[in-house]
Order: sequence, then C-alpha cells, then structure tokens
Amino acid sequence: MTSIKIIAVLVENRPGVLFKVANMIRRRTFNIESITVGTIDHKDISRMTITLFADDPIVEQLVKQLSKLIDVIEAKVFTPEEVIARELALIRLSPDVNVRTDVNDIHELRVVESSSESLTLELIGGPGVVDEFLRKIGESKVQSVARTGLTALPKGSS
Amino acid sequence: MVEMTGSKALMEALRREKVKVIFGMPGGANLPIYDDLYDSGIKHVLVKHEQVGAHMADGYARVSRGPGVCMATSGPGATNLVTGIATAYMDSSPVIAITGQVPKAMIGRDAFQETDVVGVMASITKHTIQPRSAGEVPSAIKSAFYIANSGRPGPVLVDIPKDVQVESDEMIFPEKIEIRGYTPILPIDPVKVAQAAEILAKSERPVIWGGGGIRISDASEPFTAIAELLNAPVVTSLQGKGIFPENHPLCLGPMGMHGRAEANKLIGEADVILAAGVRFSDRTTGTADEFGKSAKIIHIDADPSEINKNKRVHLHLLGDAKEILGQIYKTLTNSFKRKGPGSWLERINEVREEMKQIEAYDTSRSDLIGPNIVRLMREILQPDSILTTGVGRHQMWCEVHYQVLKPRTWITSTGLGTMGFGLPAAIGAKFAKPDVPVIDFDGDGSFMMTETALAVAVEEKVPIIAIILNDNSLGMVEQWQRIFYKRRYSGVRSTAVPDFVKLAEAYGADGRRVDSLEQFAKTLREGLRSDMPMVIDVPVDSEYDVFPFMAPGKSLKDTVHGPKEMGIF
Repeated sequence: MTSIKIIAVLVENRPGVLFKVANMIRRRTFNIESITVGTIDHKDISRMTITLFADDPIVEQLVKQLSKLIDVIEAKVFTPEEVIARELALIRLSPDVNVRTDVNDIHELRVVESSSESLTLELIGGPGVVDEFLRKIGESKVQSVARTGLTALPKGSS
Repeated sequence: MVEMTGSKALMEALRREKVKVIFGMPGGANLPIYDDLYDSGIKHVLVKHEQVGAHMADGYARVSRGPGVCMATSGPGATNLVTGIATAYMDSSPVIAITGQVPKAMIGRDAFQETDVVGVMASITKHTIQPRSAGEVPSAIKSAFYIANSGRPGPVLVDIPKDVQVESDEMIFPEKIEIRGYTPILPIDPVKVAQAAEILAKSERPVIWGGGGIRISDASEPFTAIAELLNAPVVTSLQGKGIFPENHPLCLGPMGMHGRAEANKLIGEADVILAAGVRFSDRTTGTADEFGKSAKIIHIDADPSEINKNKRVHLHLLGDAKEILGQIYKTLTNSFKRKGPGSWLERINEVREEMKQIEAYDTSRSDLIGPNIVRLMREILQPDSILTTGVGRHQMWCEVHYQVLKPRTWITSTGLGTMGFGLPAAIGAKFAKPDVPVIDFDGDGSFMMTETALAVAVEEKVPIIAIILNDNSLGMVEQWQRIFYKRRYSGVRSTAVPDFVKLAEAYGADGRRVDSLEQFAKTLREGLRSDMPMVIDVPVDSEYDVFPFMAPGKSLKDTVHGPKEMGIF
C-alpha cells in the first residue's frame, strides 16, 4: 500500500556515499520527502533517515538494492508506527498570528525570536506534526519555514 | 612497509592479483601509470577505442573466471568505456576499469579532459573507488578485485587522480580485505533446502531452468545431477546456454523471445520450476504474470535483490548456486528414488515431434540462411571452441540452432544487448584461452561498431575468426518493422556497407567471401588451421526472419513459429 515509509540506512561516512544512495532512489524514480544524515558514535558511520511515499513491495525492493551498495552497511524500512521519529522546524509567522497548539504529538513548541514584524517558533514533533501545524496556522500567516526532515530510531522492542 | 609512488603501487597490486594482461589506451591523465607499466611485466594490449578494451576485458573475464582489466585515460577515454562497462554490469561480468583522472586540485574545475567518471559510472558498476592518496591505492585495488569477482560479480571502477599516481607513500599491501557493508555470499538455509527437495520430489512435471548464475558459480555438475535424477527437462536463459550440454536428451534449449519452440511451450506445462541463477528477464519469461502461472517456482540466487523482483516466487534460496544445488541433490538422493521416464517425458517427446513439423520454415531450404550456417558451423567446430556474438538476428539464430556443449564457450551480451560486443569479446576470450579456437559470429551492423578491434587481432597475432552475416541491413530492426510497422523500413537498410574482404585486408587480416554452404564450410576449416585473423563475409537475404518469435509484451505461450503464422507472408 502506498504510504509514508521511513528508511534507515547506516553507511560509511565517506565522500560520495550520499550520492550513491540518492542515485539509487532516483533510479527507482522516487521523490525523497525528506532526508537527514549525521554521524553516529565513531564518526566513520553515518545514519541516514529517508522518508518517501511508496508501495510495500517496491520499497522492499528499493531497500534490497540499497543494501547491495558496498558503502551501505545496513538498510531497513519502517512504518511511522515502528519508530520513534522527530522533526524540528523553525517557523516564522506574522506577529498577529494566533498560535494553535491543538496538534497531537507536539513535543516542543516555543518562541525563539519575536519582533514587531514576525514571530519565530521552534517546533519539535512526530511524523506529520509540522505539516498539520502549518495547515492549522494557514498559509497566509507563514512567512518562512526551515525543516530538518524526520529523523528516527526503531522502537526499543523492534 | 615500503615507500613507492601510487602508480608503482598500482603495478605491484595488479601483479599480486595475478593480472597477466591489460586492455587499454594511454592519455594525459594516466601517463605515470603507463610509464610504470613499461617494465611491469604485465602485458599491455593497445586498443584503438576504449569501448573495445572494456569488451575485451569482459570476454577475457567470462572465459577465464577471473577479472579482466581495462584501462583508459580521463575524460573521453573514461566515457568511451561506458558501453563496455554497462554491458559487463548487466551480464554480471567481473571487469576492472582503471581510469586516470585529472589531479585532485583540478577536479570540479572543468579541467582539460575532466569527466566526473565516478558519477557517470555509478549506475552501471558494482562499485566505484577513487583513492585520494597514494597510500590508498593498494587497498583500492584489493577491494576492487574482491568486490568484482565475489558474490554476484560485476564491474568495478578505480579512478586514480594524476597526483595520486605520482606522489609517494608508505605502502601496505593487504592480503585480505573485510568490508563491513558487503557479504558476497549468504549462508544457506537448511530448512529451505529440505523444502525445495520435497517440492521437487513431489513434482510430476518439473522443469529445471538455469541461467548465467550457474556458469558463474560453476554449478553445472549438481545442476545436471538434479535434472538426471528427476528425469526433468532443462531449459536455459540465453545467458545460460552451455551450462547443460544442449545435445543432452533432457535439454529443451533456451526459452524466451527467440527461444526453442519446445522450451517455450513446455515451461507452461510444468508444475514445478526450479529456477537457478536466473533473473526472470522479460526477454526470457515474457509477461511475468503469465509466466509459470500453474507452477510452484523455486528460485536460487546469490543476489537478494533478485528475489521477487520481477516475479513473486513460492520459495527462494539465497547463496552460492553450486552449494545449494549440491545440498538439494544430496537431500533428494537420501529420500528420493530415481524416476524412470514417465508420462512427463512422453509428453516432452510428443511436443518435440510436434515442433519439428512446425520448424519446417527453417528446414525447407538448403542455401545460405542463418539457421543452416549456424548448424553447419556447429558440426565443424570442436565442442570446446568458443563462440562470441554481436547482437541481432545472427545472435538469435545461434540461440535457436547452435548447440552449446560446454560452459564458458558461449559469450554473448544478453542483458544490455550491445551491438559490437562480439569481435572484441572474441579477442579477449582468445587471450584467456589461446589454445582454443574462438569465433565471433556477427552481423554487418554489429561488426562495424567495433571493427577497429581487428587491428588489435592483427597486431597481437590473435587468430580469431569473424563470421559476418551480411544483409546490408540492421536485420533485427528490419524484422520488427516488417512485422509491426507495415514494412516501412526506416533507417535500417544501408547502401554503403564496406567490402569486408578489402576491409579485412586493409587491417592486415585474411578476408574471404563465400556464396554457398560448401564454400562456407571449406573457408571456416581453413580459418581454423590458419594463424592469421580471418573475416568471412557471408551475404544473406535481409528478408529472411528469425523464428520462433514471442512478440514483446506477450507470454511464452503466444510464441509464433513462422512468418505465415505471424501474418507477414
């Protein structure tokens, strides 16, 4: 079924590896919704968290092909329910906006800058929270947004 | 530890990998490498175009089991390799391409002859490596050879910037290399071996299907043993021709778009298909949904990404085909009594007889047509002779009519379908097996794409024979235009195909033209005795088509056996 999939990829932290991973995803003609990359413990391994919309069998095939890349140490696919996932967004709004907090799974929402022209918020939430928050605020009130994309770890039991 | 330049380290690393020959071409960005190649003890074969070098390395690799090595300079040298590397990638052939690159400081600045070859090759190689310092060269080469020739083989690019070639470093040559993201062969699941054996033992109409993976893992012995134990007919993919002797009573031959009629028909009647070392290519299976519809399919492969890629299967076994088939055979012999020829074999013989009647299209003529030439060639050539091909109708006539009797004696580009593969692959194959006759069976269109390889054959005194079925047309495309586009021959017929006899002579080879089967046989025999490369020009009629034919997008049961049935005559 076509739904949001979260792909966790452990890779060698080397020049060109992001290109190889992205190139494989491009080859299967997926659009990457978001991608986050950062080193883990020893600095020679990076974790990539990639979100995209895809059918189950197709994403299963994509993950097998990602696993085949020599620089990929491990690749796994998860549904949003199977992971702890967070996204951080910096959101600049018109100063007169009525900030809505009635969105599920908001983990942090605070003002980081305030002036007569704008109000800048830091929002941390689970999958879909940033989208939902922005929708409720309304497009006309949003001046600019910077998002990290989702990063995720599989839940402890899985 | 010993200090040396990157390029000297490259030579030492290649010697350690027992490289005997490199097919290459020098240029600005690999001059230091060529300077060290000069007294390296490694044979260099100067190609006239880098694509030819890549195909030679590929032909060498497919025959010898070991990697073949090609070399090119940066920029156009590297981009000329692309078709050859893509060919090797699609057919899982271990080719190592070593390219020179502009100095690191110049990379990304559109320097003279700079191409981002690592980027260009990413989609058509198993791996790419660009050592960033001289000290990385030994492990880069060790990794390249290990990756290229283990698991499911494939081409690896090593792109060496010129400053890395000339700078000196303390070198460590690793004996072994571990790559944490790479497990070439997965352990075999014994439960699945037992399940596979049980399904096979219970089958009533089993068909064993083998492909290139059987050749790669040298699995012909257990493959044959299982087929004989079960008395099961064998089909192959085009790449798998020769993994099972095609004159064996159980062999139905290759199936697919131009497969043997009996293979295409009987696969549809199987209740169990054991598919080993195959990738369910559309050219082999036809529409995936229709393929093996009433059969349980067991798939054996080394590459996890092949499982359920094109076709959902009932059971899959990952690992080395030779090991897996050996274990299945052993399990079968423990519990299973050898089958006598039952009703399934009767049915097979019935279909064979039926197809003999239909094949009258190919057997009613006794003149110079593809099938007759191919069958005659088979009679003349020794079983261990190696045949390479270009891509087109000549190749398909070989698929249907040339019985391959031994593994690694049939070298053809199936996945990418690269015209121009035959001649350079033949020369590469001859370097791997100098004592065995190597014949390139080609078409005029294919031959012209890489004919400069002939200069290499002459220069290196490599007595290959190139047989050109010359119809002054891109015959396979013409056939499709005849069938699907109402005979509107668009861009296929040529009025200026060169005189191949004179062309051969201009290169310093022996050029012949034949106008009868008798003359063809006589000339081929002469060629086999000669120590000079020979080109045999065989004029043929472009309107004589290849059958059987399964149209694209159709299933194997829709195979058409002749032009009348196709509705074009």
